[in-house]
Amino acid sequence: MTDAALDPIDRITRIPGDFPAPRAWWICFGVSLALLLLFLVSVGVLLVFGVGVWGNNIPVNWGLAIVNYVWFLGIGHAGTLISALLLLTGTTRRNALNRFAEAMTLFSVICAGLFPVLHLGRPWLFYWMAPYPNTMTVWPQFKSPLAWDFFAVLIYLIGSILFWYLGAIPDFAAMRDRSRSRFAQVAFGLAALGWRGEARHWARWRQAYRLVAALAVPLVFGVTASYALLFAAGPVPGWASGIFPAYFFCGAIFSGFAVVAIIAVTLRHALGLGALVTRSHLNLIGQLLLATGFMTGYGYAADAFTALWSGDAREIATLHDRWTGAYAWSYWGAVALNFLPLQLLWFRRVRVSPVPLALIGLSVTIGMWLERYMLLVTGLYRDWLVSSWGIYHASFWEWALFAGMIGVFLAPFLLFVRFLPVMSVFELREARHEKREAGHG
Amino acid sequence: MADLLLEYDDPDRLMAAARRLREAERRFEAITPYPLEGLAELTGFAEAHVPKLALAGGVLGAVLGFGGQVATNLLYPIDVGGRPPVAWQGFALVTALIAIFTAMLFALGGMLALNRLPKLRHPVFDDPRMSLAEPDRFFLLIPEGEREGLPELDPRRAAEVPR
Repeated sequence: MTDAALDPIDRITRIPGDFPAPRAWWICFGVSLALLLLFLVSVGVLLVFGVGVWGNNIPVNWGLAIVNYVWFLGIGHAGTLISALLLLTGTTRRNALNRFAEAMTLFSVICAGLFPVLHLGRPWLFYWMAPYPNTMTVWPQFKSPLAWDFFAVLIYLIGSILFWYLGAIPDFAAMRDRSRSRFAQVAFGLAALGWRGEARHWARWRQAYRLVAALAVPLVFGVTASYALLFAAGPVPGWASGIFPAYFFCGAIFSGFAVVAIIAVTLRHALGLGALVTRSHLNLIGQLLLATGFMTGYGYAADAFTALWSGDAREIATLHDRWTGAYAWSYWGAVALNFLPLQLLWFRRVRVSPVPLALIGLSVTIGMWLERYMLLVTGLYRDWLVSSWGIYHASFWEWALFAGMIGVFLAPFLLFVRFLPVMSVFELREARHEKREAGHG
Repeated sequence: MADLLLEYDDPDRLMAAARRLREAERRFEAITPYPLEGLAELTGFAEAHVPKLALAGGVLGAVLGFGGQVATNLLYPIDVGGRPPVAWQGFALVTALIAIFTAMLFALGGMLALNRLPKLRHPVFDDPRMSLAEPDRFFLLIPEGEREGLPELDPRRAAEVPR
């Protein structure tokens, strides 16, 4: 059965050679290249003129860079978790979702990692964060979450690449055997490392893949803990809270599932993958979004409750600042965008409808950005001392860098969609085979 | 003489042939576009080296990660709030992260090394029908020395693979 029209799974390996929506792809890629150019200009301006071109200053010295860092990193976590947890629980619906979700992770972690480096003031010295023998005989401060965070993001980035690549090796081999152009054969052949599908190779591959998946789950917890502790380990009112690691974890996967929903619906429509990303898959994404949304909502409630329960005047004042202060729009905006449209997902009809699901995903994506903004700015703009109060407004170049970073995410993601199999072909085939076996038995 | 490559269009028929080869105590390899449950065991696969290597990698990473943090703190003690240089609680997270990382590396590297990959040249690639892109091509590869007196294997096609 080699007719592409008859086998939706086989279509996946044919998409790179015969792309179904070239015009739409070029328009999207053009836009993302323009954003990428904006990124380069913004970074150039930052490097030439220094962080003074940004709006962050004492007391709000973290600004949009760290807001976006947390936001992008959080989005990345969902890709790892959707892939690893659904693999370990043996959910076959995973196979249509994991590859592009992992690609989303890769590119959003790259975006996330760039923000704190650019925020350093002297980004070209970022390697001082790494422990290495140097003439100054200075070593990193390993009792600080800042040093933990460097390790967390770096290891998460490399770990995500390993996980994605390990899962893709057999598909690279299939692409090698499918491709007709010499260049594609050589490129995929090198990427496949000479994979030839021997039974014992598969057996060892499966052992390794399940192990890496099982290790990726605690890795995500470690990474969320490390950047949650960036906030929580200090004495800042509104930040110094034991719930932060769990709170950040839930928010991270919530925002990530929202982006998975947007990407799944878009790819399904653009590449005609309705037979593979079925209503059952959309239903699963909708359910995950709803569940993680309520976990995040619990985080909001617990955060407010612990502030009120603490009896600490500064904690309560920060809570009031969040609700009624200068940045109340970010708090109530986050609550509204995160939790109001979400309630529609109680209805199965909404969960399996692509457009409403994607719109709810978009709402949550924006809502979670507002949450990151709210958490960061309201914690800092009114500190312990009235003399150090101040208002923060992001400058043009901060917004330009943010917009440009969307290009840093989109451009490689579009290349992935265009040139690599967007789903795990061999796992879809394996699942279909096992389903048939079960039907026979 | 050369190795024998047998092609099947159906996983069940390949599994049946593999079982017959197993009963006849032959050495052979199976090549499939996706993993088939139980096939590796029929080819005589019974090992757990990859998980053991990953465990070794994790332990190595934990020791190096923790030891590295202790060493840097002794080399350059930073006194913040009177905390001792070796504050193991503070080192836990980075130790765990590095252990996870090295375990992942050892799992991936161990899988590749045990599979003797990367290996871009292999005789089966010379067969014109060899392809992992087709969902209906399954192969058995029987080495030269095992070809005498084979049981009935009923392939769709048989080919020679010169070494």
